Amino acid sequence: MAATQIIFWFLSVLALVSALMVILSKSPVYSVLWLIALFFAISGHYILLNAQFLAIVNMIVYAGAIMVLFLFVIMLMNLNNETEPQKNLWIQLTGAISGGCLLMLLISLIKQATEIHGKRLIFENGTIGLIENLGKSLFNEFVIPFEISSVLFLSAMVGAVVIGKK
Amino acid sequence: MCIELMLNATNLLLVAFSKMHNSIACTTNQQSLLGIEGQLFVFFIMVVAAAEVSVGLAIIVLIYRNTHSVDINFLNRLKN
Repeated sequence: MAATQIIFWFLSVLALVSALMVILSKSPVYSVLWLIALFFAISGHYILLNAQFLAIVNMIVYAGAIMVLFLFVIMLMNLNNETEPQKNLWIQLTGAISGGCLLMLLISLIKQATEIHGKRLIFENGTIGLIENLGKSLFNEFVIPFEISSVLFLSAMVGAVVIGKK
Repeated sequence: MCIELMLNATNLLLVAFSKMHNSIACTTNQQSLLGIEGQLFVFFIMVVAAAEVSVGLAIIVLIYRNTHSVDINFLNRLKN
Protein backbone atom coordinates (compact mmCIF):
# COMPACT_ATOMS: atom_id res chain seq x y z
CA MET A 1 0.00 0.00 0.00
CA ALA A 2 1.39 3.38 -0.97
CA ALA A 3 2.03 6.12 1.56
CA THR A 4 -0.79 8.35 0.28
CA GLN A 5 -3.23 5.48 0.64
CA ILE A 6 -2.21 4.87 4.25
CA ILE A 7 -2.55 8.59 5.04
CA PHE A 8 -5.93 8.69 3.31
CA TRP A 9 -7.35 5.79 5.33
CA PHE A 10 -5.92 7.17 8.57
CA LEU A 11 -7.43 10.62 7.95
CA SER A 12 -10.78 9.12 6.94
CA VAL A 13 -11.02 7.01 10.07
CA LEU A 14 -9.98 9.98 12.21
CA ALA A 15 -12.59 12.21 10.54
CA LEU A 16 -15.40 9.67 10.94
CA VAL A 17 -14.58 8.86 14.57
CA SER A 18 -14.30 12.50 15.58
CA ALA A 19 -17.50 13.41 13.72
CA LEU A 20 -19.33 10.68 15.62
CA MET A 21 -17.85 11.84 18.90
CA VAL A 22 -19.00 15.42 18.19
CA ILE A 23 -22.58 14.20 18.11
CA LEU A 24 -22.36 11.59 20.86
CA SER A 25 -20.38 13.32 23.60
CA LYS A 26 -22.43 14.61 26.51
CA SER A 27 -20.43 17.70 27.34
CA PRO A 28 -20.41 20.53 24.76
CA VAL A 29 -16.78 21.35 25.54
CA TYR A 30 -15.63 17.84 24.57
CA SER A 31 -17.81 18.17 21.49
CA VAL A 32 -15.97 21.32 20.43
CA LEU A 33 -12.58 19.67 21.03
CA TRP A 34 -13.55 16.70 18.83
CA LEU A 35 -14.73 19.17 16.20
CA ILE A 36 -11.24 20.71 16.17
CA ALA A 37 -9.76 17.23 15.58
CA LEU A 38 -12.23 16.83 12.71
CA PHE A 39 -11.09 20.10 11.15
CA PHE A 40 -7.47 18.97 11.25
CA ALA A 41 -8.41 15.69 9.55
CA ILE A 42 -10.32 17.55 6.85
CA SER A 43 -7.36 19.89 6.33
CA GLY A 44 -5.20 16.81 5.78
CA HIS A 45 -7.67 15.64 3.16
CA TYR A 46 -7.45 19.01 1.41
CA ILE A 47 -3.66 18.73 1.29
CA LEU A 48 -4.00 15.24 -0.20
CA LEU A 49 -6.35 16.66 -2.84
CA ASN A 50 -3.81 19.37 -3.78
CA ALA A 51 -5.90 22.19 -2.29
CA GLN A 52 -3.17 23.71 -0.15
CA PHE A 53 -4.71 27.17 0.16
CA LEU A 54 -8.03 25.79 1.36
CA ALA A 55 -6.24 23.55 3.87
CA ILE A 56 -4.49 26.52 5.45
CA VAL A 57 -7.64 28.68 5.39
CA ASN A 58 -9.64 25.84 6.94
CA MET A 59 -7.12 25.52 9.74
CA ILE A 60 -6.87 29.26 10.42
CA VAL A 61 -10.52 30.25 10.05
CA TYR A 62 -12.30 27.19 11.42
CA ALA A 63 -9.93 25.65 13.95
CA GLY A 64 -8.46 29.00 14.92
CA ALA A 65 -11.27 31.53 14.95
CA ILE A 66 -14.71 29.90 14.86
CA MET A 67 -13.90 27.15 17.36
CA VAL A 68 -12.39 29.60 19.84
CA LEU A 69 -15.60 31.63 19.59
CA PHE A 70 -17.64 28.48 20.25
CA LEU A 71 -15.47 27.53 23.21
CA PHE A 72 -15.76 31.02 24.72
CA VAL A 73 -19.54 31.07 24.44
CA ILE A 74 -19.94 27.55 25.88
CA MET A 75 -17.65 28.30 28.80
CA LEU A 76 -19.44 31.62 29.37
CA MET A 77 -22.78 29.86 29.73
CA ASN A 78 -21.65 27.16 32.17
CA LEU A 79 -24.02 24.46 30.95
CA ASN A 80 -24.36 21.10 32.67
CA ASN A 81 -26.71 18.14 32.69
CA GLU A 82 -28.64 19.11 35.81
CA THR A 83 -29.91 22.49 34.69
CA GLU A 84 -30.56 21.61 31.06
CA PRO A 85 -33.69 19.63 30.22
CA GLN A 86 -32.87 16.47 28.27
CA LYS A 87 -34.67 15.32 25.16
CA ASN A 88 -36.76 12.21 25.72
CA LEU A 89 -35.93 8.84 24.17
CA TRP A 90 -38.62 8.83 21.50
CA ILE A 91 -37.45 12.10 19.98
CA GLN A 92 -33.90 10.77 19.82
CA LEU A 93 -35.10 7.52 18.23
CA THR A 94 -37.14 9.42 15.64
CA GLY A 95 -34.17 11.59 14.79
CA ALA A 96 -31.89 8.57 14.38
CA ILE A 97 -34.37 6.80 12.09
CA SER A 98 -34.96 9.83 9.86
CA GLY A 99 -31.23 10.56 9.66
CA GLY A 100 -30.60 6.92 8.74
CA CYS A 101 -33.19 7.15 5.95
CA LEU A 102 -31.38 10.19 4.54
CA LEU A 103 -28.05 8.32 4.73
CA MET A 104 -29.49 5.33 2.84
CA LEU A 105 -30.91 7.66 0.19
CA LEU A 106 -27.56 9.39 -0.33
CA ILE A 107 -25.65 6.10 -0.51
CA SER A 108 -28.04 4.69 -3.10
CA LEU A 109 -27.80 7.91 -5.14
CA ILE A 110 -24.00 7.73 -5.16
CA LYS A 111 -24.15 4.08 -6.21
CA GLN A 112 -26.46 4.95 -9.11
CA ALA A 113 -24.58 8.01 -10.35
CA THR A 114 -23.09 7.03 -13.69
CA GLU A 115 -21.09 10.24 -14.00
CA ILE A 116 -18.51 9.17 -11.45
CA HIS A 117 -18.17 5.51 -12.43
CA GLY A 118 -14.70 4.64 -13.62
CA LYS A 119 -13.31 8.11 -12.94
CA ARG A 120 -10.21 8.35 -10.81
CA LEU A 121 -8.54 11.00 -8.72
CA ILE A 122 -4.91 11.55 -9.60
CA PHE A 123 -3.27 12.96 -6.52
CA GLU A 124 0.05 14.27 -7.74
CA ASN A 125 -0.80 16.58 -10.62
CA GLY A 126 -2.86 19.74 -11.01
CA THR A 127 -2.17 23.34 -10.02
CA ILE A 128 -5.65 24.65 -9.19
CA GLY A 129 -5.08 24.56 -5.45
CA LEU A 130 -2.18 26.98 -5.55
CA ILE A 131 -2.78 30.44 -4.18
CA GLU A 132 -1.56 32.08 -7.42
CA ASN A 133 -4.21 30.48 -9.61
CA LEU A 134 -6.95 30.80 -7.01
CA GLY A 135 -6.17 34.49 -6.48
CA LYS A 136 -6.16 35.25 -10.20
CA SER A 137 -9.50 33.52 -10.66
CA LEU A 138 -10.96 35.14 -7.52
CA PHE A 139 -10.11 38.68 -8.58
CA ASN A 140 -11.01 38.27 -12.25
CA GLU A 141 -14.21 36.26 -12.65
CA PHE A 142 -15.41 36.20 -9.05
CA VAL A 143 -14.70 39.76 -7.98
CA ILE A 144 -18.36 40.75 -7.53
CA PRO A 145 -19.21 37.86 -5.15
CA PHE A 146 -16.00 38.66 -3.31
CA GLU A 147 -17.04 42.26 -2.71
CA ILE A 148 -20.58 41.20 -1.77
CA SER A 149 -19.12 38.84 0.82
CA SER A 150 -17.24 41.76 2.36
CA VAL A 151 -20.56 43.61 2.75
CA LEU A 152 -22.00 40.43 4.29
CA PHE A 153 -19.16 40.37 6.80
CA LEU A 154 -19.75 44.01 7.69
CA SER A 155 -23.47 43.42 8.25
CA ALA A 156 -22.73 40.32 10.35
CA MET A 157 -20.32 42.32 12.49
CA VAL A 158 -22.79 45.17 12.98
CA GLY A 159 -25.55 42.66 13.77
CA ALA A 160 -23.46 40.84 16.36
CA VAL A 161 -22.53 44.10 18.07
CA VAL A 162 -26.13 45.36 18.08
CA ILE A 163 -27.47 42.07 19.49
CA GLY A 164 -24.69 41.85 22.05
CA LYS A 165 -25.18 45.41 23.33
CA LYS A 166 -28.82 44.95 24.32
CA MET B 1 -21.91 22.71 15.83
CA CYS B 2 -23.76 20.19 13.70
CA ILE B 3 -24.23 22.93 11.12
CA GLU B 4 -20.45 23.31 10.98
CA LEU B 5 -20.19 19.55 10.54
CA MET B 6 -22.58 19.59 7.59
CA LEU B 7 -20.87 22.59 5.99
CA ASN B 8 -17.53 20.82 6.23
CA ALA B 9 -18.94 17.70 4.63
CA THR B 10 -20.16 19.83 1.73
CA ASN B 11 -16.79 21.52 1.45
CA LEU B 12 -14.95 18.20 1.29
CA LEU B 13 -17.35 16.94 -1.38
CA LEU B 14 -16.89 20.09 -3.48
CA VAL B 15 -13.10 19.92 -3.27
CA ALA B 16 -13.11 16.21 -4.20
CA PHE B 17 -15.35 16.73 -7.22
CA SER B 18 -13.38 19.79 -8.35
CA LYS B 19 -10.22 17.69 -8.14
CA MET B 20 -11.86 14.86 -10.07
CA HIS B 21 -12.98 17.28 -12.76
CA ASN B 22 -9.48 18.71 -12.89
CA SER B 23 -7.61 15.39 -13.09
CA ILE B 24 -9.39 14.49 -16.32
CA ALA B 25 -8.33 17.78 -17.90
CA CYS B 26 -4.80 17.41 -16.57
CA THR B 27 -4.14 14.31 -18.65
CA THR B 28 -4.07 16.48 -21.78
CA ASN B 29 -3.01 19.85 -20.38
CA GLN B 30 -0.89 19.93 -17.25
CA GLN B 31 -1.66 23.60 -16.44
CA SER B 32 -5.41 23.29 -16.86
CA LEU B 33 -7.55 25.39 -14.53
CA LEU B 34 -10.76 23.45 -15.07
CA GLY B 35 -12.68 22.92 -11.87
CA ILE B 36 -11.26 25.89 -9.98
CA GLU B 37 -14.82 27.13 -9.35
CA GLY B 38 -15.34 24.34 -6.84
CA GLN B 39 -12.50 25.53 -4.65
CA LEU B 40 -13.65 29.15 -4.83
CA PHE B 41 -17.14 28.02 -3.87
CA VAL B 42 -15.68 26.34 -0.80
CA PHE B 43 -13.97 29.63 0.05
CA PHE B 44 -17.29 31.49 -0.11
CA ILE B 45 -18.98 28.80 2.01
CA MET B 46 -16.34 29.41 4.67
CA VAL B 47 -17.02 33.17 4.53
CA VAL B 48 -20.77 32.66 4.97
CA ALA B 49 -20.19 30.16 7.80
CA ALA B 50 -18.01 32.63 9.69
CA ALA B 51 -20.64 35.39 9.38
CA GLU B 52 -23.43 33.01 10.38
CA VAL B 53 -21.57 31.75 13.45
CA SER B 54 -20.89 35.23 14.79
CA VAL B 55 -24.55 36.29 14.56
CA GLY B 56 -25.85 32.92 15.80
CA LEU B 57 -23.65 32.89 18.89
CA ALA B 58 -24.66 36.46 19.70
CA ILE B 59 -28.33 35.39 19.57
CA ILE B 60 -27.61 32.38 21.80
CA VAL B 61 -25.88 34.58 24.37
CA LEU B 62 -28.88 36.93 24.31
CA ILE B 63 -31.29 34.01 24.86
CA TYR B 64 -29.16 32.76 27.74
CA ARG B 65 -29.09 36.19 29.32
CA ASN B 66 -32.89 36.46 29.19
CA THR B 67 -33.91 32.96 30.25
CA HIS B 68 -30.79 31.47 31.94
CA SER B 69 -31.08 28.45 29.69
CA VAL B 70 -30.44 27.63 26.04
CA ASP B 71 -33.63 25.62 25.68
CA ILE B 72 -35.56 27.29 22.89
CA ASN B 73 -38.85 25.82 24.11
CA PHE B 74 -39.01 28.63 26.66
CA LEU B 75 -39.25 31.08 23.78
CA ASN B 76 -42.47 29.74 22.29
CA ARG B 77 -44.44 32.91 22.84
CA LEU B 78 -42.44 35.63 21.02
CA LYS B 79 -44.17 38.18 23.29
CA ASN B 80 -42.90 38.78 26.85
